[in-house]
Amino acid sequence: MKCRGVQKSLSEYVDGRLSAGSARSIEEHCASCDACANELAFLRAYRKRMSSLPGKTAPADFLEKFNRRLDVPEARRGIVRTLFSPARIKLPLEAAGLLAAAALVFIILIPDETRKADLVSHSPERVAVTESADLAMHGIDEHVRPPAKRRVHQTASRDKTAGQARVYVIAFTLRSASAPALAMNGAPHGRAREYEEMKAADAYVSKAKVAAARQMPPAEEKKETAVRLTDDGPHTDIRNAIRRSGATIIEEKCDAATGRCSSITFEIRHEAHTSLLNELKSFGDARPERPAPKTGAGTMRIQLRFSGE
Amino acid sequence: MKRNLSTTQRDDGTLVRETLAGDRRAYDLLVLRHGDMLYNLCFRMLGDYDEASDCAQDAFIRAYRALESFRGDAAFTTWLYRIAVNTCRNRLASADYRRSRKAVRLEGTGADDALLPENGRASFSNPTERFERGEREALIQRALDALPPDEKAVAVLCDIEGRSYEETAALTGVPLGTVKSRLARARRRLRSKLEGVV
Repeated sequence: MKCRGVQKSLSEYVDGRLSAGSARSIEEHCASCDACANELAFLRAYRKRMSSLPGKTAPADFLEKFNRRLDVPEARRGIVRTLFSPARIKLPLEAAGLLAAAALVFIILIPDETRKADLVSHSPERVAVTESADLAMHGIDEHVRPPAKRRVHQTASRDKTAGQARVYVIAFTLRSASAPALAMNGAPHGRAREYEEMKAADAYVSKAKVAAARQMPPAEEKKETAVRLTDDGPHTDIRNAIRRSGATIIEEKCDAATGRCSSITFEIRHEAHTSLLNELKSFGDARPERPAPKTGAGTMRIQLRFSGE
Repeated sequence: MKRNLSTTQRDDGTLVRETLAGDRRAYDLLVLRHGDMLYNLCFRMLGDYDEASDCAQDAFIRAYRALESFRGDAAFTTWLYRIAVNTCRNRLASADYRRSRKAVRLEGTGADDALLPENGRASFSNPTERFERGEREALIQRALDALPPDEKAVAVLCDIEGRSYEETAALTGVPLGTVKSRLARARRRLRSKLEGVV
């Protein structure tokens, strides 16, 4: 018998599972082969050692814990395991890390309404107006897009905003006839008048023309889209006045159906805000919640809160 | 786990029937009777006391929930053992177990337990002897832990539990020839780790 065959059978030999003839062959071979004899010696010692390993005793609270677990419904145990033992999903650690990073990016880049305001840059060039917000703002035909609520203007980056999160709130009580007030105010804005005329005619106009009326460079327009202007009442006039002053509207909380706004938040250069407030007085009664901040360089954030018409 | 010997008069079959009739206490007696045995098996398979306790409880819970399917063809212990072996194998295959084994363990598997009288080593009065015994047991357990689950199950059942090939085949659900070959392979692997230890 050769070593290979012997070593293959040694495991069964030490367990006494070989026939008498096979066992004798093994013994004869091991008597003359040190390697196989050593293997046999190990196996005998191994079996003896393994069978003498001390038995472990279950903990004293084994039965108590068993009963506690038995009383928990299977479904609940499953939920608990899913929640607290996510590894059962066999999710690789890298994938879990990727998910966590994605969640973090989501939280940072898609903030809630309040945080959006904080993210706005005061540079008008960097303002990116979402298409839905833009269309809603101009009363886009509902066949194109029916916005439920007017959305928020959002900037592409969050630069230079650390000290500008503070909002200067003005309670604004609208008068009933604001459009004539604008006219009586004798606003010397040719483009605004053109805009008003277009609005009055309820015409379909090119977006480039609207942009011109809004003093917005046409280059920012991605495509020529027919926009239908409707009469949204004094809020539209106020919005136009804000834009004419060079301010950037950050957020509008307006009802798409009625065109009425509950608030408009915008950023304006310090030096321009006084003249704007004077102009807005023709639409209604503006009452600041706190004294106006000192004028200076940079921009300030103002929120008009409308209280009635 | 303490046993109440006065309650061990009824055989397993009777306790199973009483459990099926709605007597939860009868099953408690089965847990008390076979708890240590299952716990020891789970410990040797998993190499961790907490995991062993958890896994043995799992096995009892699974057995309890499947008790109606126990036909009584085999002994209750064989049936229970088979459930426990499968539970251990599932645990070994699970991702969280594999990860937990990678972590640094503060508890040893045997060396430090040598000093614990409740593990049956209080009779060793010589501290050196106790320590060496504990060290050796820890090395054996680590060598067992390194085995593939299927080979480990066979090695534990045959070499530690002293089960026959036939019993091991019944408990693991594999043919007799597979038991023999797995056992031979497991022993060859263990030799490379335990030479000079046993």
